[in-house]
Amino acid sequence: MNCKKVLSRLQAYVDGEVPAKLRGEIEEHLGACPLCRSEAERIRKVGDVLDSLSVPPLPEGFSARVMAEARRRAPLATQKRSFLPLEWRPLRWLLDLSAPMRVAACAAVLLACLLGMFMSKELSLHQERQAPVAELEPLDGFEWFSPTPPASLGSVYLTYASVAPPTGENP
Amino acid sequence: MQAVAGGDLDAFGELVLRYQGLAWKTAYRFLGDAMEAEDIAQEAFLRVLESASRYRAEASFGTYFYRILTNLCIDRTRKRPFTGMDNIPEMADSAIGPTESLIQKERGARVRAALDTLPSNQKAAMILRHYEELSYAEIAGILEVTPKAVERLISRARASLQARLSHL
Repeated sequence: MNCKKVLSRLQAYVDGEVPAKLRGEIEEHLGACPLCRSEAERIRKVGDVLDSLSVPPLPEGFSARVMAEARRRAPLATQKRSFLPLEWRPLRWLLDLSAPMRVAACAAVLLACLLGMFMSKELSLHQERQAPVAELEPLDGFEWFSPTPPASLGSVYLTYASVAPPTGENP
Repeated sequence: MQAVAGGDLDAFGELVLRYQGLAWKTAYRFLGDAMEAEDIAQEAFLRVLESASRYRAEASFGTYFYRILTNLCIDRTRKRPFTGMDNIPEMADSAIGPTESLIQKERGARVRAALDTLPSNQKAAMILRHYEELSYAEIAGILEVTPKAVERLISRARASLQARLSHL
């Protein structure tokens, strides 16, 4: 193993992050190479210097303050959840998306709805243009059925009513 | 976490007791200011509570918590003005006879200042590696990078610290 390869993995070696086989090879090289050995020492020394950074003890009453704030915020969080239909299980995937993706998903659904409405309106107009409204004579009491589009339930009923024999007459 | 997600504040209290030391030390080492560290450590716990219903046990809770805490520390560092090495006390001349504790304090201040000159991700990687003794894989999970990237971050951080602290 040459110096270049050893130096490229020396940080990981000092941190105990190399596999056992490579560790053995590096150790063998360090035993024979004073240059790489001094570099390993320098890396370790940085660690020793960092140890001089002291941390004061945890402030007294820290957990009590966290709990007090949690109790203050908890009812708000619960309220927020209860108003959100997004908590509904089938929509949980929406919560896992990032904000821009959520907006995009909502926009896609809205667009699909608008497109559906537009297409159904177009289809209806197209049908009306292709087949004019049936000229059926409205029967007494059935004026509100007229004019009726062809193949509609009203049209079928009017056709049937206009040809049906009077009630009580034998065929 | 399931109990916390269900609104169980007692379970949340247990989490706070278990992780408060870790949160405090990490936040203090990152920020170097007691008030800011307490503020960030508290906020990390409250974020855990607020997002408990969205928590998925894909990683360990420790990794999840470190991620929240580290991100908060990085955000806080970005918001405050850079002071560099200007506020470091001059090294005491040992010949004049300052006490050992004063020298130690000054040494700590120099380390603090040197850490503060590191880019946030290098600083986070170095703190998690050296003080929290986490593996590259664990740090990678927290910083959401690859273990190889962690190795590079730590390598750069050490080189930078070595250059700044070689006189200590």
